[in-house]
Amino acid sequence: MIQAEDPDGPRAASSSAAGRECIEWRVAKLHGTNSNYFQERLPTITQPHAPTVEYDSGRVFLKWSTALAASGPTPAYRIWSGDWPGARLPFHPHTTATLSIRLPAAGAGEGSFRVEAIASQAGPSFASPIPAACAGLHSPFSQKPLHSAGRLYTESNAPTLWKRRKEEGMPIHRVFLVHGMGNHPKGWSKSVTGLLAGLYKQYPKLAEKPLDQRIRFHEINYDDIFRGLADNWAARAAELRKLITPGASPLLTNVFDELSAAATTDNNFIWSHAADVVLYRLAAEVRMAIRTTVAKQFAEGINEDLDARQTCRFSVLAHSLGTAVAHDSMHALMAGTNAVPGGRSFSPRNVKAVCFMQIANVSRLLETEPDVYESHYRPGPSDGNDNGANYFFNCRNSWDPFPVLRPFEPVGWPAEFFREITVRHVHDKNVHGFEHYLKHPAVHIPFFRAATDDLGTPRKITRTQEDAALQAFDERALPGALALVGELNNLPFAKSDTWEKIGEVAKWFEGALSRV
Amino acid sequence: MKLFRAPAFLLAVLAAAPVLAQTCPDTQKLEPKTAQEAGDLWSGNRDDDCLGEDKCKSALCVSVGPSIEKIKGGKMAPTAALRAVFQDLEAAGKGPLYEKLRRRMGLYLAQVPEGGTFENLNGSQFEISAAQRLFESQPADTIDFELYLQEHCSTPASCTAAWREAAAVATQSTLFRRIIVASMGTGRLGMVEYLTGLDARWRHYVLGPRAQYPWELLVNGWRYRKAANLVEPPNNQFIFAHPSTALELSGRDKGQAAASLLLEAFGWNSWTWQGNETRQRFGASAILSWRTTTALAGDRIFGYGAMVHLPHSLSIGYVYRPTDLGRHSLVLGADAAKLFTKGSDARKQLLGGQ
Repeated sequence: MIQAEDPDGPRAASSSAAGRECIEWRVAKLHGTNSNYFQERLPTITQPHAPTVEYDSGRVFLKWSTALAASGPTPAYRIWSGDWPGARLPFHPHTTATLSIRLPAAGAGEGSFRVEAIASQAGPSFASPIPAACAGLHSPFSQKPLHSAGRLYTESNAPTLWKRRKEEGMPIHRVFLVHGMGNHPKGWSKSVTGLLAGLYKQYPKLAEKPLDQRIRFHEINYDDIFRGLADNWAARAAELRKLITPGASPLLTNVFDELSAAATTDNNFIWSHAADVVLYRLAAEVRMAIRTTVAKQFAEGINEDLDARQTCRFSVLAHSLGTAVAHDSMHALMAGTNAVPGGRSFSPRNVKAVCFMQIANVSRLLETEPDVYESHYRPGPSDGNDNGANYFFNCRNSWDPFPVLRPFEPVGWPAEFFREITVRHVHDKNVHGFEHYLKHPAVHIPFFRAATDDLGTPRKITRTQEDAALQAFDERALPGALALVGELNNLPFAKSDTWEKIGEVAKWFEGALSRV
Repeated sequence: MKLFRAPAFLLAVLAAAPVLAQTCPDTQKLEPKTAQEAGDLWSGNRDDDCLGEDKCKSALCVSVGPSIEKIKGGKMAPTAALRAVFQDLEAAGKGPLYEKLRRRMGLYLAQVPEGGTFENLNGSQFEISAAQRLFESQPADTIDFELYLQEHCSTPASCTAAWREAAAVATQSTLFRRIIVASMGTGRLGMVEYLTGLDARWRHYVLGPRAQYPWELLVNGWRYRKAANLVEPPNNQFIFAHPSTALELSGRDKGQAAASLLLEAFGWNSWTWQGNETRQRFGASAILSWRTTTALAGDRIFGYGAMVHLPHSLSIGYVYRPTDLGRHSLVLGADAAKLFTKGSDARKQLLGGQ
């Protein structure tokens, strides 16, 4: 008999192979196990031994023994140079004693080499499609994959055969900018784009082509909904306040006095900042309105490019509350609707972002529906059916208190497409600020690479330039940084705290900044 | 004469050079001899939209380009253009990249519905990623263009052959993708128009005439707490502790209206959507009222009653006050009150200028 509370549960599904496959998915999702339906532990992959390395005429020659596959085939090898992910080599049958590869020595790095087999288990995996029996259920990420990110970086010092053209080049990459809490009238992104323009010029190869011929910034606006509500309440409350005396009803008097202040944004943290977060999290209708307006703006931008040149390379750069807004809105757009023909035109099968870059990510803290780890707002292969982007960069400053609560920590997202970027710099008192994050090379370099089609063998910002930028960056440039760090180090909140604490976090943060 | 012509010829070439440098080359005529050269060519051509993008000048791009415009205009079925690209691929050769793309295109074409939509097929798989790869989730078919060029440039001849194969495959894949995108233009536009209307409706609901106070948003938002996708705004709502201004008329006031503070303690309201705006249907509330006139002996400020919300923004109610003077009052909501305020334009319009 099918259990009513779980009509899709084991009893319903176990009668078929497809159903058993679905159960394996669900078990893996819940428990991260590496086993089949019968709970037999699946064999794990045996990695190759450390490769032998020979240098020969400006090239590196690596040789290694074969890996031994797990229950599924080994699709590829990844060559690592120290901590740097390198070339990816499709699996070859091991008909010789060793496998080998020759690589250009320049830029191959000074670290030791390592060869890693990319596992492909018979059980649920990130790249596998969701079994049909599980249609409608969540898609699990069953296990952490082996590291397999990026490419081998080479230096390009030789004279180039291809001379860059002087004007219009590749399709302009559209970057949607999504702001966080606070007052953000139209034009708010000027400070962000101005900063990025200055940083762009620091990299000579990148700057060979003007920024506006590579990247088109598309400012997303939704703050007018918050401000419209606040102005509405303030105006009504002011009128109503005239009709009542405190003696008649102290409660109503207090309510109207508080609402009258709603439209004031200067020195009014509650209404200018905190109210945005509370309204977005608690007032579902406000959330729906914002999600719709942002989804509309995404769709308009993407469609403009697809209509003009049938190509749209786009990314989303979101900050703070904007990470939750971007997540919810892009997922809604990609999930589509049956309300109109063409309602799925923006699904990941038809449209895919190059990169979602989440700065001070609070999407999990403010999560409602869908689950932030299982929505379309996640990374994956460029031909994946469900992942909305190829790459996902999650950026966090260790001193920023907001992402501490219920942090965004996906399990099972492949390192090839997901990167956690943790920085520790203190250049401004407001370590949570959008611009503050972007100043760090560890944040803006991946962004520039994603936005300029340079995530293969990077040529526009080489590895050497990246290392130099990181070395030269002064993490504690703010006078009094140590004192600020000392204050912020005493954060009295934990990962287990939830969104209800966000007001306290904001108050504590304000206090910490004022004491320095 | 020859000597005179030679400098003129050179001048003509030099003058044309900037123009030539601004157009895409015929990628099949380029001959990189080393991995470095091939890599630079790849990067440059990608950067300048020469591999199947709208600036591409290869023979296939030139022949397929006009088809894309016709498909956009609805004057050509996309399947014919897709098959043209596939046929070009079949005639191209036998290299490993060709084989992989052939396989993926063949699988895609097998699913293409005649006269149907491509919406549910995976057209984005034919877009080259920022890491210069195709088909990343298919290990047997993954194409890593940069790695391929690195591995096949051991000799100048093999390097040139590898380059030409990579460039051709990139062009064919990109053109294939562009045809698919062009064919979905009408659907995308429909979705954008739908979102524009939906945005207008939500804004009207949240910020418009029946805009709610924060506590009402919490109550009415409850039904959307699990909504993950795009949804329509509602056509009804709970009213909960909703304050407003009103006008009261009672016998005590001898026909003069007096302002009052009205609190709709709880109620229900409903409407229909016409376009992106609401048209009131029916609603009703239990109300509390505080009159603002100076208290007279035996008078009480507080009263209670009920109100109905009617079409054309008319809200009319009744309030009872246990007082010696004027126990029964007629209440008019703010919009209805405007009609009856002496001298109001609405009243003048209704009563023919009086």
